[in-house]
This record gives sequence, C-alpha cells and structure tokens, in this order.
Amino acid sequence: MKLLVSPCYHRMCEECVGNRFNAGPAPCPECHRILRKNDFYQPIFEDLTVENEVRIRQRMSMIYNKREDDFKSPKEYNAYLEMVEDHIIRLLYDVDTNEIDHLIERYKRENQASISKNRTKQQREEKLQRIISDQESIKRQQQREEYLKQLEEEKREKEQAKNSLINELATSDKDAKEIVKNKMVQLKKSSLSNRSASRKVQLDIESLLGTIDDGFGDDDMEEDEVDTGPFDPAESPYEAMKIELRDKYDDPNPAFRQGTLAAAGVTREMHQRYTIEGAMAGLFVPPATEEQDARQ
Amino acid sequence: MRFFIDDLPVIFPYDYVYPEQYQYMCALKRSLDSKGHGMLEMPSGTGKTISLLSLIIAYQQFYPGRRKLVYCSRTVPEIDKALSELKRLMQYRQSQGCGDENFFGLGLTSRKNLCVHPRVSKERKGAVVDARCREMTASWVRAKAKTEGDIELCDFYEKIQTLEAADLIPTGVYTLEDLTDYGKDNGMCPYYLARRVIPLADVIIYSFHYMLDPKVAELVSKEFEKDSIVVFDEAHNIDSICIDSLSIDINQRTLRASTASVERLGERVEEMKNQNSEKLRDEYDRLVEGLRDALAARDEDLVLTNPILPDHVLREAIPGNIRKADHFVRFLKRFIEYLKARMRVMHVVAETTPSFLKHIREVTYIERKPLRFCAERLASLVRTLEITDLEEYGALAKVAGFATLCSTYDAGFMVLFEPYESDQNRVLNPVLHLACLDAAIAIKPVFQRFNTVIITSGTLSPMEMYPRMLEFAPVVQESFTMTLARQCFAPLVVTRGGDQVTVSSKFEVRNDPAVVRNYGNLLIEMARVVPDGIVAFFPSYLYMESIVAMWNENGVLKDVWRHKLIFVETPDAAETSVALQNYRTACNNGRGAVLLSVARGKVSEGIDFDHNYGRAVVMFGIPYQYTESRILKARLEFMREAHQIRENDFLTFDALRHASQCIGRVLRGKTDYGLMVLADKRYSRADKRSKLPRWINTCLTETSLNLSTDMAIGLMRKFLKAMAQPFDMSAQLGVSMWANEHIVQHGGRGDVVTAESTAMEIDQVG
Repeated sequence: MKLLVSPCYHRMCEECVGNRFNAGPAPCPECHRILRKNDFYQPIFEDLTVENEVRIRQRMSMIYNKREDDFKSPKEYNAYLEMVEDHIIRLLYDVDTNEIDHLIERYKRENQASISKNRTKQQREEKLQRIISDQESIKRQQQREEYLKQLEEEKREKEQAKNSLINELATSDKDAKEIVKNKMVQLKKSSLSNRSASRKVQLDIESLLGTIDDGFGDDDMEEDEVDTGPFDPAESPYEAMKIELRDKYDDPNPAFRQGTLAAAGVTREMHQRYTIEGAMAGLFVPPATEEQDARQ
Repeated sequence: MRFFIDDLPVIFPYDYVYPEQYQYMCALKRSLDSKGHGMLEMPSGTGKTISLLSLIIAYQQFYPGRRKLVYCSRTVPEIDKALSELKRLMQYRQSQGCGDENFFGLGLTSRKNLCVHPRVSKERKGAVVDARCREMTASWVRAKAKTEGDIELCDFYEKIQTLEAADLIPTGVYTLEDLTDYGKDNGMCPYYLARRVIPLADVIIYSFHYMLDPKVAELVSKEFEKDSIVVFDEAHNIDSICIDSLSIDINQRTLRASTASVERLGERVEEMKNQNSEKLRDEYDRLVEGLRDALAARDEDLVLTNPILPDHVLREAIPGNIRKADHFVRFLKRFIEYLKARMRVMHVVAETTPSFLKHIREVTYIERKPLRFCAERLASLVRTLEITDLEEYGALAKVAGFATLCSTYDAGFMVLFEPYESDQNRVLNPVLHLACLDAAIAIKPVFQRFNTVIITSGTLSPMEMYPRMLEFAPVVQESFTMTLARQCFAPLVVTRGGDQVTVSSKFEVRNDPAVVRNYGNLLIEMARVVPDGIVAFFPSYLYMESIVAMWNENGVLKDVWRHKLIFVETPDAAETSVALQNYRTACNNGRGAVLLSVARGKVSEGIDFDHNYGRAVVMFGIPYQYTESRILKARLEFMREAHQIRENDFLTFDALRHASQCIGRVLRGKTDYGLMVLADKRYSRADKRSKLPRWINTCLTETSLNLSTDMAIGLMRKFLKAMAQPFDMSAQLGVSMWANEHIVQHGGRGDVVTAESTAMEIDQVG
C-alpha cells in the first residue's frame, strides 16, 4: 500500500485518493480543504511535520538568501539566521501566520535586488561545484585506469622476464646461478624505472587540473568585483605604474609577424606614449611613467 | 646495575642488560635528544617496557626540564604490568641512592575499574557505572543538594573537592590497585583523584584511547606540555585504532532511540521554559556572545564530548539558527528524519562527504555550518537541561557526532550506506557508516603537539609503512634483533603436505579436501612430537569453522585427541576465557592441549603463551582481511591516492603483521623456547618473507623454507631435543647478556667504579 500526502498534510492511501478524487476536486475528509487528485504526492519523510517544515523552508530559502558576507559582522548574520528560523517555526506551528506573511512580503519588496543577486550567485556556485566534482571523478577514474594499466604491464613484464630466463637457462652454456643473478638485477631496475614513470604521469594530470580549476576561480572573482559598484578613481590611492618598453614584441597573432602589417608610420616609443596618454586621459592625472622614464 | 649512555647515568633494575636493550636505549636517547619522533621495533619478551622506563626516567631526572612521560598501552592488564615495573624500578633507584624527590607516577583507567563507591562499584557495565557516577557528581546535582536535603551524593567525590590537587595524595608510584586502596583508606574517589593530579605527575600510564580518541583526549590529555614524551607501546595496530576512533556506524535502532531522545529533549525544553527559563536564557546569552562554553563548564560536567574540530572552528560562535533550544531540537529532528529517509533506500550508496552534505542541503535545507556545531550544541543543551542519565542520550550523541564529523572533513572520510549485511545475505539490516579512511587524522594532533612521540612494538615491519600511513617523519627508526646464546625459536615454513600437495589458504583452494587433510595431518604430527601446549591460528572464524567441521568428519580431531585436548576460541569473550583457563590447566598437568584460535581475535592480541603454555604455534594460511568489504576497498583506494601505498602492499603488510603477532605469542623471554610454523605456500615467497619482523626473518634460512610436513616434523624433533638439554646460564653472559664490562668492551661507558676495576682486570690479564 502506498501512502500519499495532501498539501494540507493529511495521509491517505493511493486507492482512497483514486476513489475520492477521480470525479474531480473534493474536500479533504479531515480539514475540508478542496483538493485535487494531482495535489497528492509521495512524502520523503516519515514525520509529516518535518515534511511541512521542509516545504516552508523551501519557500523561505528563495527569499531569505542573504549570505555571511552581506553582513558587517558574524553577530549580525547570526541574528538574521535566528530571525529567519523564528519565522519558520511560527509558520510551522501556525502562530501569527498573517503577521509573518506580511513581514515576509515586506522583506521581499525591500530586498528585491539582493535576493535576485544572491540567487544567481548561488546558481553559479552550484554549477561550479558540479564542474569541480565532475572533474574530480574524471581524474579519479583516470588514475584508476592508469594504476590498473600499470599493474597489467608489470605482470606482463614479469612473465616475460621469467620466460626469457627459462629460455636462457635452456639455451646458453653459462653458469645457471650467474644467469639468474643477472636477470634479477635487470628485473629490479626495470620495475624501479616503471614506478617513477608512473608517478610523473600522475603529476601531469594534477597540474593540468590545477589550471582548469584556477580558471573557474578567476571567473568568479571577476564577477564579484563588478558587483561592488562603479569604480571611483578619486577614492583609490593613485600609484604610478611603471610601464616598460620592450625591445621586441611578438604578437601571438601570426598575421602581425609580417613587417608590412606592423609598420604604421610611428616608432615604438611614440606608440607607447600615445597609448599611455590615451589611457590616462580620462583620469585627470598626468602620466607619471613618462616623466619618471624621462628623469631616469 | 648502573651504566652510562653518553653522559647520562642509567640505572637498570637487573644485574645484566641484554645487548638489544642497551641498543634500544641508545636509539631512544637519540630520539629524545633530537626532540623528534621515533619508531623502534624490538622482539617481544626482551624487556621493552623496562628499557623504555629506565631510560626515560633517568633522562627525566638527570636533565633539566623534567620532561613528563605519557605511556600509552593497549589493555588494562598491560597498564598494570607497566605500573608495577615502574614501581620496581623506582624502588631499585632508591636503593641505589637516587633521590628522585617528589617523583610521582600513576595510571588512569575507566571509572568501572577504579570506583570504590559501595553501590556503584557493584555495577558490571562501564556505561552504567559512568551514568550512576554522574548522577552523584554533576555540578548541578551538587548545587541542588545544597538546597534540598534528600539527594544522594558521592562522599568519595566530595572529599576530593575540599582539597587542593597537591594535597590529595603523597608522591610516589601507584599501581591501579594502590590507587584504589589509597582511595578506600582515605575516603577519596580514585578516578577523580587520578584525573585531578595528572598535571602534577611525572609518569602517566593509560590506554591508547585517552590520547587518540578525540572525544576523550580533550578531557584527559589537553594539559600536557609540548615537551612531554609520548610512548605508544604495542603500537602495531595503531592505524586501526586511529580509524576506529573516528568511524561511526548508525543503524535503525540508533535512529529510533535518537528520535525518542529528541522528543524527550523537546519536552524537557518546554518544561524548563514553563518553570524557569533563566537557565535556558543564560545559555542562549552565552551562545550569542560566542563565549567558549568549555571554559565555563567544569570538566566533570563536560559529559557529551565532541569529536575533533579544528581550532579555528572552535573559536567561531555557534550559528544563529541553532542558538535557541527549540530551534536546535527541530534541527535535530529534521536531520534524523533525513537519515531515516536515507535508510529506506534498497541499494548500496557510497559517496564522499561533500556530496552527502550537498544532498542534505537539497532535501532538508540544512547548511554545513550548523551541522558542524551539532555535537557541541547538543553537549551544551544537555548541560543546560541538567540531564544526568546520559545512557539514554548515547544514540543521539552518536548521531550528532556523525553530523559534526562528516561536515568537518572533506577528504579522508566516506559515507557508505549498506542495506544488507552482506551481498549474499538478503536480510534487511540497513547501516549507515561514516568510515574514516585516513589514519593520520586522529594521530596528527598528537604528532604536532608533542616533540617526541615514540611508537614501539615487537612487530612493526615493514617499518616504512607507518610513517607513510600516519604522515609523520621519525628521526630514529630502528629494528633490533634478539641476541641469543642458543637459537631458542625456530620459524619453519611448511609449503607442502606429506603427499607433496601444496597447502595454502588461498580462496580457490582453501576448502580443497587435500589441503584440509594436509593441514590436519600437520596438526596431528605436531601434537605427537610437541610437548605441552600448541596454539593453532586460522585466518578467520568462518574458515576455522569449516575446516574443523571437515576435520571432525575425516577423523583428524580424533587423532589429535589421542595426544592432546582441544580447545576453541569463539567470538564470545567469556567463553574464550573459560577455554583459555582450561587450556592452561591441561598444559600444566601434562595432558597437553591444542588451542584453535583466530588471527585478529582476542587470543592473538595480548595473551601470552610462554613456556609450557606454548611450545609451538602454527599459522594455517595467511590472515588476509576480507577484501570484499566496501570500507576496506575505499580505504585501499584512498591510501593509493594519498600515500602511494599499493593495495597489495598494504594487504600483505596487514596480513603479515597479524601473522607475526600470532607467532610472536610463543616466545616471551630468552629462557623460553618455541616453534613457529607458517603453513602456507605463499610464505616462502620473498615478498611475503621480507615483511616479517627482522628478528624472525634472519632466522628463516634455506633449510627452514619450503618444507613438507615430514621434513618439518624432523626439524621439530631435532629442535626440541636440542632445547631439552640443560642450559648453562653462564653461556649467555657476554653474548646475550651484558654486565658492565661487556658494555665497555662494546665501546660503551659502564659505571665509573666498575669500569675502572674492569680496566685493572684487563691490565692484569694483559
């Protein structure tokens, strides 16, 4: 028998639900709320209050999604967490539900921007997490295969060595002890080199993964910085940046390696000055680098 | 006797010292001098404990700083043995004129072993004793007793509270018995007495768990200075102990009990709210302020202890959403309901802790942070509610510990859910394991906190395995062999039966009638030639059962019976101890006996078969672990990735350390003698043999390898005949026993006086 639960948290078995609601919407036998057959679902938890609580939490988590870094101190954050928890418990036990609903509505209106911002942030994070865990499982799989391959190889090699040893013993005229000794030394050497080689492969995978992960991390950081508001140059202390002129510049684009494309009628020094002046023009600060360069 | 190591005068309470003891002490001193960790292997029965104690005490008393010694052993009898050795040593030192003023040494064990309260000490279960004790000693009970008259308190405990720690007990060495006697005579509780004076003691001897189990270590071992010397004796299983102390299994009964506990907790909260909410309010305020509870709480009251949390976490405040008591109760309920829902799944699930946490968040909206504080918050609540009957909350504490551990560590743990006990067994018995895979997690704090940690045992080979598994770098790592005037043990590797069929406990052939018959014949033949006791070890209970059943059918048992009685070890401890007792009786009265037991069982660890109790030990097969276990598989994989230890290397290492533990049981000293028979074809391979301890390995010569049963029996006869000859003790002198002059001969420094006299003697001879 399958027990289903109505949105008003009353249990009913599958068959009864069929009997009662097949003809269309009908009132719940316990609380007389009008229900449809489709409203019934299979509960995750044994305890229906927990089921109810989780539903409430689901709703709340869409609205109250502030994070610790949104607050000035952990204390404030903890107070906020407690407030949310209070709301949830009161909703669960049906205490002043209307008032709470009002509060929630107001909060929603006031914090519209931060709610949606945090929501996207969270989605991003989840995505990132997923990618990382996928990467990790791939990496683990690779290592596993690598290890198995290595085992196989070693086994084969041992077999080979054994065969060749027997061959040699059968065919050559040398002292049997000598041959065995030589072979042993050879075997040891080969297995040692094998081991070090395998470790190297592992390291390569590691470094490769490292760069991928870093890439994701940077991505996230950039996004965060954009979020912090417009940049005000007057506020941040200006530090003269030293820009050096290199003797030679290799453009990664192969097209520019041809001299004809690179020559635009200006020297390299001139080009540098234009670029720096252009960059500084909007900031109302003189391009310090040039002066410093001149002084030097 | 008295001798010098470098400039350190060592007083050794025997007339002679074994060469390996001397070398052991030299290595130990090097490790102490450099303030680094050490790993020392020395054969069983060569007096490891006394060498350790004499050197460290000498070191402690001679050099400034007086480094405290914390000596950890496995079992209560071993602790007691070490304590009486210490007592003997201190008496000897006194007789040699060492002042050792205010030397103070004592042991600590559970309440159950120490309690002197007339009623409580009658209880037989440790948990019950603990609970009854707390009912009388918790601070709120005592506070209440001041206002209300009719509450029973423990007088022994009260007496301790009236005194300063330094006035409680005169200095000296106390064995566990001395301690209880002192408690009885002076009306003091020995358990709390020991706990109070631990900071004052020079030597503390207690069990591994007080150091390794984070739940207990926090209470007992947090006050030791960095300079203390920590010794783990019989530490060959230290990695398993570390892992066990951080692994938690939860089954349906645990969950049912914790649901009930949560309900009761909720009721208590309501009750308290209605009566006087002051206490709850106080607790709440404290949590808001983020004050560390542990500071405020008296250590006697810190009742539900939490598993290790990193320090930076401990300094954080408890998250806001579990600050209020009723919020926390709902939180626990939600978590338990989640676990229950997980238990309804019908297939095996193995996942990492991050993915487990992710799933929790998706389903129940429980974040990681409150989970991490679960155990601590529960302890605080239990304290606030003034609950003394902690037995009822054991299951809940387990669940809270589970929550805390799995949300604290990302790596090195695995969450495994198994609906059935085994793959063949279709009886539903769902268990949720939180398996610790990394032995280093539990022991790392110990290595970091103390300058010198010594790991020592009779069987630590191959020694390079331990530093890798436990992630530490020993400065001294040595293995000592036994110096013998006569070869008093003989390891034999039997690979074939009398009919030249190879014997092995390999899975494919282990139940082959030929193998079983040959194992049986080996036992019959041995029973015929070996006097007194024989101990036979099998790789597992399952295999022992099947093989004994087959032996019963084909008459092997009857044949053995003709020569010796047969006793069997069972998983039941009481039954086994009865069997052991009768086994000893049979050995003593000359009837002779065979004890069939299991590697990794109780008999293989910690029970000695010295002299006539064990003239031979035979190991049937190699005691590999059950490799199909998912937890073991996960651990192997983890070790391969994290420590570059290959699966087969570890399995072989683990099997052989247990095998060598088993065969090491037979020899407990230099006057003892015994046979060690390894009956499996695979023991003759170099890779297996090399993993045996050095002192056994060096005795495995060409002649004792690859034997058939009849050849082995011939060798046994020869060996036993040789051993039966009267042994002249003086032959040992200078070879396997050193007096002062021998130390000088070997380039050491004996006692000043005797050294001069020996110099004179040498002159005279010259």
